[in-house]
Amino acid sequence: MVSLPKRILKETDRLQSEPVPGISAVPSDSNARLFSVAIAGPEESPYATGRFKLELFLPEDYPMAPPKVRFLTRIYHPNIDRLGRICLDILKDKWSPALQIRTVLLSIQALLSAPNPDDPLNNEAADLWKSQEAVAMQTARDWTKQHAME
Amino acid sequence: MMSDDTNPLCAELEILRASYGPELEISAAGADVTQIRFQATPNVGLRSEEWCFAATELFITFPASYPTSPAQFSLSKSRGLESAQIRELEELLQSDAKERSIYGEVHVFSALQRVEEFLADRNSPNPCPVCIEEVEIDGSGEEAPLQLRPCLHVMHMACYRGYRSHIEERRREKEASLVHREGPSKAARLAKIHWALCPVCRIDFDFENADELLITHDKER
Repeated sequence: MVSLPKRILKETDRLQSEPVPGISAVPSDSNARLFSVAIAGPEESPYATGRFKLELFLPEDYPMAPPKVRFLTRIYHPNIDRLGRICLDILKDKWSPALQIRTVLLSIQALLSAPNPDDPLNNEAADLWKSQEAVAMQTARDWTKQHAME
Repeated sequence: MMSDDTNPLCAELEILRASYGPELEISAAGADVTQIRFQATPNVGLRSEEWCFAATELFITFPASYPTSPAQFSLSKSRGLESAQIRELEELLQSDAKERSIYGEVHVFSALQRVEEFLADRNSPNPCPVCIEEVEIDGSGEEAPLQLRPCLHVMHMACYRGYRSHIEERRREKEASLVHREGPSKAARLAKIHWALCPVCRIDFDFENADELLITHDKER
């Protein structure tokens, strides 16, 4: 097995020693590049009180290339599709090696607070968000209750 | 007016001219309006050839009733400072000036010193964006620090090389994917748009002219 870059070890240690409020990220026993992530739905958002599971994978050329992240918990959100894929610029062309696992997860948490229906991945949710925001938020709350509560 | 020794502004400008070199420009914009442009770098005392990790440009304008009314300060082209720090410094300067103007004290020389000290207190390198380790300014070889002139951010030499080769590879891939549809010259131009950024602040950074933009402080150069 190829040894793990020091940077990944350092980030992993720091995630445990200085955890981000509302976010946990734990490396898998069998693969130190694969993390089980849980993000608490932000207060004041339709995802509040939900707990969303994600997986995060650090590819071979990390940190030059961004981590691959997807939601495992179903979520109703204009920028997240039914496979859990996330539309977020820093996970694509706006990635920079100065970003870290920690900053990526904070950005995803922020995306839950501030959906961006103008750059949709789930078109149906995005359309509803733009035409009837109250209905869309209620749907998101219902899904949170159904999928993201223990 | 400029020759009037009893005018506190004239006397202060004389002191400024004597204390600073080309980093200080004093100009007259109109008959009674004087303005100053100061390229501020950290005041590190008598040590020479120091690294600079924080810099800013300070503009000062004087009301006719200076120094009983405060001078006006504004900062621009700040490098190596976060926006909160820039605001903090601007507020410091304004409140100092206001306080001194109450007593009719001149307060521009003290403001320039204040800016230099502020920068000196924050004159430390960012952690390397690639390996997230500290950058030692006296590191050598692979560990040698390498600084981007436009933004003053630093990386390790080896980390920069890895970053640069990754970006260049991405650019070649992008160009290859565009060449059929766009033709060779347009593909090269389009691909280039995506390949030039400082990893810390995303400032445009063209690797073709990289050597002019890099500071290594290598005595051999």
